[in-house]
Amino acid sequence: MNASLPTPSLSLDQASRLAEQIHTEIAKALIGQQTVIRETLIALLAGGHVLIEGVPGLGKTLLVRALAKTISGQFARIQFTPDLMPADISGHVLFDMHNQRFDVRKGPVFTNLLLADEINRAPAKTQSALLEVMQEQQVTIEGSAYPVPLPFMTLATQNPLEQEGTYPLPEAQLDRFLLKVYIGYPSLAEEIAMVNAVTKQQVGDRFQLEQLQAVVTPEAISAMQQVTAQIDVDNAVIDYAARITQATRKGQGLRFGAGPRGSIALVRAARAHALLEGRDFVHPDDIKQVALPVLRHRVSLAPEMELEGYNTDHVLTAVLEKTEAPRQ
Amino acid sequence: MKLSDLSIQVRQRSAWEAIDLGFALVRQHWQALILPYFLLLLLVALPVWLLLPEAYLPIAGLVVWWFKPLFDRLLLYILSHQLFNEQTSLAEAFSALPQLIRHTGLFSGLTYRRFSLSRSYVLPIWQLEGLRGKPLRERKELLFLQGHSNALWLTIGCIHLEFIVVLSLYTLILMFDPTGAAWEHIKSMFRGDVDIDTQYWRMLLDFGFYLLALLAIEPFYVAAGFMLYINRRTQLEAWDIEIAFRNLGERLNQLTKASAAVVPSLALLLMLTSLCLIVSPSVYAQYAESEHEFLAQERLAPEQAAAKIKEVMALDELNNRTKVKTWVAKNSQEPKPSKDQFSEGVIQLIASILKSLLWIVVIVVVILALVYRQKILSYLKPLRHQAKPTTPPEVLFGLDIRPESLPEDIAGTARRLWQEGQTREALSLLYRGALVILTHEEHLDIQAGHTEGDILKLAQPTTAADRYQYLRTLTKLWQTKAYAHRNPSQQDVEPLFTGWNQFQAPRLALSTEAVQA
Repeated sequence: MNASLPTPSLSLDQASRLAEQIHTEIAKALIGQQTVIRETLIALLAGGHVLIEGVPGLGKTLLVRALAKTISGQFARIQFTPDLMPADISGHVLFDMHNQRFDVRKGPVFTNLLLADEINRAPAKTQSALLEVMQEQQVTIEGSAYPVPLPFMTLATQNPLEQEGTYPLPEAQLDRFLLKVYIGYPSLAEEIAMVNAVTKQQVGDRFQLEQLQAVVTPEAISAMQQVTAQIDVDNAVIDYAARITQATRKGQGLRFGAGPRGSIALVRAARAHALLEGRDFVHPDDIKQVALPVLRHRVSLAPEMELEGYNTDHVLTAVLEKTEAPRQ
Repeated sequence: MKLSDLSIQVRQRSAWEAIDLGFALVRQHWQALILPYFLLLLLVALPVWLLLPEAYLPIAGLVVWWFKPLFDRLLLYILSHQLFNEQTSLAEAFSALPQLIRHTGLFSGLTYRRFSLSRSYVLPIWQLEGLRGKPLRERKELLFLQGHSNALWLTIGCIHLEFIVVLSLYTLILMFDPTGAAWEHIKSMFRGDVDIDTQYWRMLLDFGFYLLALLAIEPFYVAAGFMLYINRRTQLEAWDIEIAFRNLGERLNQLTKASAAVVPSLALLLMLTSLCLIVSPSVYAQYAESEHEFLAQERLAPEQAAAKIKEVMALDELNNRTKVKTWVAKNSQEPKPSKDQFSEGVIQLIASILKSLLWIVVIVVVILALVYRQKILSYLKPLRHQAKPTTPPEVLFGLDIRPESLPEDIAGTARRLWQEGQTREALSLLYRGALVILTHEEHLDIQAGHTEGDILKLAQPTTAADRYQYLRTLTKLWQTKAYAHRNPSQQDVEPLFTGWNQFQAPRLALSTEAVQA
């Protein structure tokens, strides 16, 4: 662990600089995915969870491992499979024959960063085991609630290509994710840099995470989340966020729009975005910048739009263009 | 409907064989068919001829052609009764006509199903089975699995047969017309010549010929489609096997009556033997032939038959040769038409054919343009967008951004407001002024949905670096005031007042131009 780790009480500037350091560190491992790193940081600062969607081999797992390494927190990974049971995630009670008592075996969710890999491969009941911990940050085992260590963040991944044998996430579960992040292919220059970084004087094809430095502690992350929560949001901006969410419910091309949790998530994510910009207030651009990752999994595309080759981002962009910006 | 009453031999046939059977059916029952059909055709054709103005007589044939589904229904009604050995009188056929008009899907047959190429194949489902809606669709799907293509080719073939009949009638007239008027008429059909004196009679002749063609071909078309349908049902419902078993049952009953003491084992033996007889093709053929073919009572041995054939071929009637003597003119060469005249006629003929083809192409293009109108319109869309002029908005973010709403000296007014402590109004005025310049001078397409950041992004490519920097600072201070409710310092705001004149240089130029104009 780095010797010069910051103390938990932070100013806005310190928090902003730390966020930038985390970004720089992760970018060393995840080359060419600036937007993905930025959006993951937004979720981390806002205390939310992220659903990452992308084809295999783009570094979804690497992102989470790099993030865990950078914040020197605990990291756990669950590979979701069709036979995974809820108790495999949350934990269970086991009778200890030797001591004649029941022991609680805590599941992998008791960690700072949880990677739920290929979350849509498990049935809905197993996926729902994550609901409580994502919402309440606690797990109930045999009637007793056990809090998970803070900060707690779930990063779930899913593959958009292979749909056979998968279980689409229920809307209630999707709503729990603050952001849905698309991870795409890198450009030629980025891919060349990536190949260089991974293959230079090393065995195997994995990025050596030892090269990354831990720049913050989990406690500092909690402090950064506190700073984020105190960023000012004007009523006009909240009004703008709510009008965007309302517009998704009335807009053409969507089967259903986002709920009130969408407006809340917009403001939370916009605060984190403002912090990354080093600002102590939120303006409408912050809302607009985070609108797509915040809303794209909370709305459902109408079948006719889907048939015509549109996706939710197309429709949401149109909604954003039509929603009047705040009038001050 | 009793299968045993069928007047045809029910067995599995190929589709073409079934069509042939349909033709045979018309030949067998033409007397029952022709009179009611002829009267119905007249009932339609006569009013059409009488009511249509003379100039519109060429479309009379089209009108009668359009009513073909009506004729088909009457023909099928008669044919279906004849098939089960039920004689239908003329009165019965016409009494059934109202029922046929109302309950056999005639409306759809005369409108959106008029161009169906499998009309005669589908007609029995509408008329005889009376199916509608989903059952009709399912039935059609089942029937169309086989025989559909044959039905299509039957329709196409019959259309050609109608043309052949019409052309044959013209040829007949050509053979008997010494004046050459018929040939002129045929040529004029392609050339489009109009001879006022004889035009009406020529058109009437065309109409009459077409009616005759309809009279000759349509019964065959309906019967062939009907037999295709019967054959398909025979395949699907095994009518042939059902009839075979019925015959077997009847024969066994007769045997039982004749000899009540016959043991069941013998009956079983008989049944098996009969079954073998039925399924054996050669025996079956003999059985069929004895009923339907006319053969001599005695069969000759091949050698005797050959001798008999030679004997017949030697008869005078088959070997009659006569010599005829006639006068032939010495100069028998007929005056040939001049080469120029001939080539002119050919050219005219080709020209008129090309003209007809051109019209067909035009019609096809118009139809295709109608069908693909959406795609064509979508190609034109970018052009429309380009043509659309962009008018700058008058209100943005609730701010009045018309040029006339601003004071002459924006920087001075803003400074005065700032000094009076109206910081928000001062920054608002500057930002409003900047928006006026961007929308009216830089022609930025700023919409209501654009935020301050979007406007900066829009302005960046078209604005000079120093002016862009000014706009950025102004936007930042405006956002801080608007959304964080914090006053910028005097030090921050001073460059905005001093730099305004440089920023608004294009606006001044605009005003000067306006004054000069």
